[in-house]
Parts: sequence; C-alpha cells; structure tokens
Amino acid sequence: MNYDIEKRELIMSKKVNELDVFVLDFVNLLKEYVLVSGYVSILTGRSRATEDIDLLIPPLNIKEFEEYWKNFEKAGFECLNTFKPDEAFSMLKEHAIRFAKKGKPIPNMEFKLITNDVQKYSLHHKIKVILGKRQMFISPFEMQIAYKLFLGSEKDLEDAKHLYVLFKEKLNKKELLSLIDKLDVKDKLKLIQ
Amino acid sequence: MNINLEELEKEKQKNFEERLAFVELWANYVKNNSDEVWSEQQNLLINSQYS
Repeated sequence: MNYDIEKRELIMSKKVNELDVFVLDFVNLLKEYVLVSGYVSILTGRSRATEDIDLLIPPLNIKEFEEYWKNFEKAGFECLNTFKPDEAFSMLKEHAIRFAKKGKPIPNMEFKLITNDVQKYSLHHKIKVILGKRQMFISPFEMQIAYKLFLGSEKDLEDAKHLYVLFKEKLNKKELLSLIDKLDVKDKLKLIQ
Repeated sequence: MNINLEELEKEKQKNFEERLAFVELWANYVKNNSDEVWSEQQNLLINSQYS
C-alpha cells in the first residue's frame, strides 16, 4: 500500500474480502461520510474481523435521510432498528442506527451523526482510500491512534499499535502528539511504541 | 478452590503483552509484503467469519 500524506490518499492493491465489499457497497450510496474506528485498522491489514463498522455522517434533514433510505433498500440493505424511515430518523438524533444486508445482521454498518469535535476532525481530515476502481474515506491515522488510546480496551490498544507500527514513518508526529495531548493519553503511548 | 488473583492478573498482563508483540510482528509483515500477499492471509480469517 502506498500512503501519500500530502494528498491524504492511500492506494491499496489488496484482495478485497467480504467485509470490504459490504463497506464499499454501502458507502457508494452516500454523499459525505467518514469510516472510523476498528475498520480502519482492519482495512489496513489488522488480523481480526468485526461485527460492525462505524460510520459518521454530517447532520441531515428528513428528506435527505429518506432519499438515503430508498437507496439503501434498492441496494438490498435494511435497518436493524426499525422498518420505518421516520422512526429511524428520530432514533438517529439520539443514537446510532444499524444497516445490514437483508436477512443477514452480520456484518452491519453503525450509522451515526457527527456531533462532537473529534468526529468533525475525522471528517475534515479524512483520507481517500483507492482500492482498484473503487474508493472510500477513512479517518486520519493520527486521530485513529490517539482515539484508540483514549478508548483503552486491549482490542483498542492493539488496533492503535497496528496503525502506529504500519505508518510510523509517514505519520504527522506533531499532529499525533497534539491529539494525544488533547485526549490526555500520553501515558498509554509507550504501549504502542 | 484456591484462586490466586495476583497470579491471574500477572498471567493476563503477560497474555496482553504477547498479543501486542504479535500485532507488531504482523504489522511489520503487512509493511514488508505486497498487499496481495498479506490480504490473502487476512481474507482467510475475515471471510470465514461471514460465510
């Protein structure tokens, strides 16, 4: 894989797996989004699977949501929380909602509105991933590493270590240290170095 | 049953350190091999979860 930090672009020639296909098919239906958390590590090679993929989207109105809903249904996705789009839209204001391929709850997409500055940062600094003729947008590695240190479970620390080891020569170290400082996780950095 | 919590805690910590060491080993493998090579191995693990 080739990561160009200036262009904020990651070019990959990996053989796509079932999880990648699920993600690519879903994000193809969206206008603006960023993929965050565990899937970023898995996409870049971490040796684990997951039942859900975390996806953030900017706030949207009911009309825009209903348009998405129609397209999700046409593409064979269903909401796991409710069959009614207006109910789903109300839920979305309170918590994430999940979409999966019809009749197949795993894997599923955890669809969440952007509400805080960490999430806004991920969207505004997103990285374009080019996988053959397809593409997707993921959260920047510096934020992924810092936020995974903040979450702090063993799985999160392992995800952070994977990204750190893989990209350490290409990371913006100043930015990484600044985010680590803001999230107050300096003490955990030694675990991944 | 006599459970030594201190010993279990040490074992847990040792386990985690060993896993972190493997994460490092595997990340270096990904770094030093082509995408086609590492993804073929990763896909065996991932695809088996969803079939």
